[in-house]
Amino acid sequence: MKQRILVVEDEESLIMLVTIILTAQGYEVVGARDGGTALRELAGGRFDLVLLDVMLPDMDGFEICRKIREEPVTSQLPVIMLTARKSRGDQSEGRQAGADAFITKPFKGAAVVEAMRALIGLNQ
Amino acid sequence: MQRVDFHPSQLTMLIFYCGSLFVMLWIGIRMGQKGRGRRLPSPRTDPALARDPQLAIAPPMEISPQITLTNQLDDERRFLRSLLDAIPDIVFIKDVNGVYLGCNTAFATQYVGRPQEEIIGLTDLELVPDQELALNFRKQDLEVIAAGRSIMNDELIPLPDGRQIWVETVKSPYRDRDNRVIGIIGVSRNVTERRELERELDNSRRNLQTILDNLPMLAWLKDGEGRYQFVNQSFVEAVGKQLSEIIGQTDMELWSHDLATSYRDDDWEVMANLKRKHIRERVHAGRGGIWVETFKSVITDDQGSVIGTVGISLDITDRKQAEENMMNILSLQTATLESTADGILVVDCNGRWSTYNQKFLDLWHIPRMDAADGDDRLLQSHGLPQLVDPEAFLENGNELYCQPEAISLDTVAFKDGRVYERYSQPQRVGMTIVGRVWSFRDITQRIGAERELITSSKAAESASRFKSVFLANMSHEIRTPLNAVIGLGYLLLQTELTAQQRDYLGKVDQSARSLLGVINAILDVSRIEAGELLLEEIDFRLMESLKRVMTIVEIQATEKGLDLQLVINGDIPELIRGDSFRLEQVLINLLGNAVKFTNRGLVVLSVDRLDLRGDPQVMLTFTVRDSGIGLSSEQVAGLFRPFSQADASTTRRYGGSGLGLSICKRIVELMNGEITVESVPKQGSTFTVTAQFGYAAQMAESEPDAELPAFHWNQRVRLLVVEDNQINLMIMQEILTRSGILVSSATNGREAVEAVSGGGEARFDAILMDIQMPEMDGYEATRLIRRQWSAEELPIIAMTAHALSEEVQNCLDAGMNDHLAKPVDVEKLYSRLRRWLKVEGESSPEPAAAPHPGGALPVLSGNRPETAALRLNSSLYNFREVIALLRRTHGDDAAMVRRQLAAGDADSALYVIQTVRGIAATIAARSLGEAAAAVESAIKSGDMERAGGLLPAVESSLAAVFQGGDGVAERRG
Repeated sequence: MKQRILVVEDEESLIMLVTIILTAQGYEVVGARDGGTALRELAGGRFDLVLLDVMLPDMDGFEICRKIREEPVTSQLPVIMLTARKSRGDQSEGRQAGADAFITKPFKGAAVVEAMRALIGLNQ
Repeated sequence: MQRVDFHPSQLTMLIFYCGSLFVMLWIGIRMGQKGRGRRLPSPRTDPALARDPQLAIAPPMEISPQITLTNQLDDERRFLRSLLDAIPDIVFIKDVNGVYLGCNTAFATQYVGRPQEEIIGLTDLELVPDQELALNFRKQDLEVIAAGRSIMNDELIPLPDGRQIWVETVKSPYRDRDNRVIGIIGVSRNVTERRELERELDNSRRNLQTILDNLPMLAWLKDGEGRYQFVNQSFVEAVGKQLSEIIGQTDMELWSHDLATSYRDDDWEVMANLKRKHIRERVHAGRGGIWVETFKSVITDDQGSVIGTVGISLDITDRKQAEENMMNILSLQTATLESTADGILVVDCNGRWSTYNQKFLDLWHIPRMDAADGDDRLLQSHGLPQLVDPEAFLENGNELYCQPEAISLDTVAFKDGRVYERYSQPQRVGMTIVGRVWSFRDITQRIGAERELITSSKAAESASRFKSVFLANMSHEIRTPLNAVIGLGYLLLQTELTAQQRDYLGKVDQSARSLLGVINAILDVSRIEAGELLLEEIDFRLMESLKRVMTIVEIQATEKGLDLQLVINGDIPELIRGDSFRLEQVLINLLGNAVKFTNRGLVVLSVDRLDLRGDPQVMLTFTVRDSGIGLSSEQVAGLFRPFSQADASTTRRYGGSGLGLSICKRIVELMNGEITVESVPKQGSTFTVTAQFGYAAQMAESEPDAELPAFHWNQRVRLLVVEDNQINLMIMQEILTRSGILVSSATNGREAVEAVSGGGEARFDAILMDIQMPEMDGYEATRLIRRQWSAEELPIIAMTAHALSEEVQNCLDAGMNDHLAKPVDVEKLYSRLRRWLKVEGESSPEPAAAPHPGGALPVLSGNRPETAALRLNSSLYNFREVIALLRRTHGDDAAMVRRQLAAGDADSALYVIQTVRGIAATIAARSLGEAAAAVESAIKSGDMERAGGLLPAVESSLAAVFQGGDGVAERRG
């Protein structure tokens, strides 16, 4: 079965890019453009990993991450956060919120794939 | 490092997105520039602090005791106070110890949450609950005091309501008249909202950068002066410099002069024309050159004025290579298509021509101009009128439209006489059928050749049929009179004749039999050619066959003074199953040849058994070895071909039809064996025959009388002989009557039917039926007779003239039991009668007079014994009769020679003694032969006295022959 990735990112073109990259690697990608959508997706389906942008229109990524950790079903779900290099505080706040890894924008597709493989192994 | 391959459609989408992102980017850059300008205000330019410090350092609560307040001053203070309270920023003043000297309302209400009066006189440590934060504020104050200049800080501070806000605080030294720093003045502004905007903008830029960095193309943005404002990661990698070394630079600093100039010219052109530019070029980059495809376009601001250029550039080296490969493939395809002699057309599923070659256009007479349309209907409208059968052409084509998977093959005939073979198969891309490939091959010549071949083959067939019929007829026409000659000759020999008459009659008999032999050989060859030579499967005694063969050949061998030997090696079964007649034919032929071509020495026939215990078949090897003239390898090569002898001179010297060995070869092959020859010229030849036989179906005792040619039937046998030829009829009657058989005759089929339809018991035990007869032939007669009598009740044996398998089959089909070839062999006739009448024949009561088991030696009074072929049908004669005949005709030959020698008639004496020697060879009487040869030799040498002295030996040998003591009898004794 393909591993399912939830990409939470308000910039649609970025979702598209990540989808292209990850689909080429054999992952199945679901995009969510805001926190509410993301949480609904997580409640409604099985995911193997969440790629989470910090800045979202309705709530920030840290809050979503905390909610993921609080929910028993998703408490162990690997989360990679996309942060801006500028805000060093993001990473410490993200760690407190329970994120597993961080990718700084701008990033190369290979970095995402590498981080994902480190967390959930090779896709079969 | 992961490489991401983009699908072309994805790439297109991304490029589309890039366009919109570039606009965002541009706006972002301009916003960023504006933001920077706003974020870094020069303290000097701040009107509230710098322009009139006097105002700023006069907090309302702190009134200098030296100054008398006037109304005017009061007004100013009120104004100042109102002013400070009116501005949304917070303003505060502290002394060098950090004690608040004053603040505006905003500071008191929003940031501290206490009245102004309570704030004055307190420090941050007392005002701010977070002591760490308070200490940090104090640290900032001290930095300002120490530095003596303004310092700006961005900081996150908590509000009394619990919220946190970002503020931008500028702290400046507060100085007295003497310009000494006596405290700080702070102005803080809530920048939370602005910071949020900045963060969002930053995020957008990073998103954009991320996307552009992941594109497999170079992307950049330049301002109107050609300075790079933005580049993506691919661009950075392509240039090989740091990002910071690229931003703000022009092409001149990045590329070679020529390249930079051309890039700049492109930019100018794009900006001047406001049009997109597409460039394909080869550039030198990294290892060798690469092909790039570049798109350049202008960026305009809100008002439409040009503010810069954007560009993307793709490495299309791979695509270029693919294009080149495609060109190669196309040229290969064209070359291949044009090099074939076939016309080729590929039609897609919509009936459009995908590909065709010139040959195709030529064969349909389609002008190249018309072909460019590439519509399959063109072929139909243009081509159909040229065809002999356009309907069939269309029908076949339509059928294939319904069966796209099918492979078709048919022929297309043109009115001008050309014929094409039309082959088609589906064209597939992967598993999908996308069209159909048609090929047209000109087979006009082949068709012509095939027609000729059919015609000539028919001619050959008919010629061959004609030949068969001719041979059959000939054999009938010749054998019938020959039958008469031989039969009548035989009867004539039974009468009183003078010696001379007997001699002539003997020669007539020889010649007739010789001719019969030749005809039989020719008939055998024609049977072989027609595949009609079939072998019989009859039990026979091998030793008897071998003895018969030896006896026949011995005559010649003796005549030439050769030693003929039979060697049996190993355990040969007594009774085996096969065709003894054909085996004898082969061996007589080989031995006859050996004798014929050997002048000195010996001829040996040896028999070996090859099969192993348990084999279902008996395999025998017959080896005929001679010490004759031998054969060269060239002669061996043609040896077994019909009508060929070793060479023409051989034919002249030794005679013969040249058919014998080819017949032998075929016979041996039918016996699952082979015939081989080894030969050394002048030393001799060895012919080896292998042949397979079955084991006898019966016990050895079951055919006790097969060797005896004559019978005295225990019961009276009644035969009806049906034969239209009066001479043949007479011969049959004569022969049969002599065997004690009651013979009736009928001269055609109708008479035969009448003769047997007497009612009640059958009047005959069997019928001998000729086939070709007037009024009613043998087949018809048999069919009618069979209505009344079964094959069991009344056996009918055919006497067939043609002796072809077909005729034999016809006989059996008509209801006959068996068949005999004409001229009828008496021994075979008796054998068949015994089989069908199921009666036991008995041998002659005088066994001593018939000691020769093979019997059947013709006795000839001539002085030249004839060849082996003559003896084949010799079984007409009974040995006893032979001896009697010999006694009668040559009993006093020795006395005659003596008289002639006495009279000095050497020629006559020589003639007579030669005759005696010939007879001796004929009957294999060795002693007599030697004695006669000695006399002959003496006469020839002129020594009449010695000849006369040798005559008693001849006389005694003759007497021995007459008593069965010499010749065949001596040998078989």
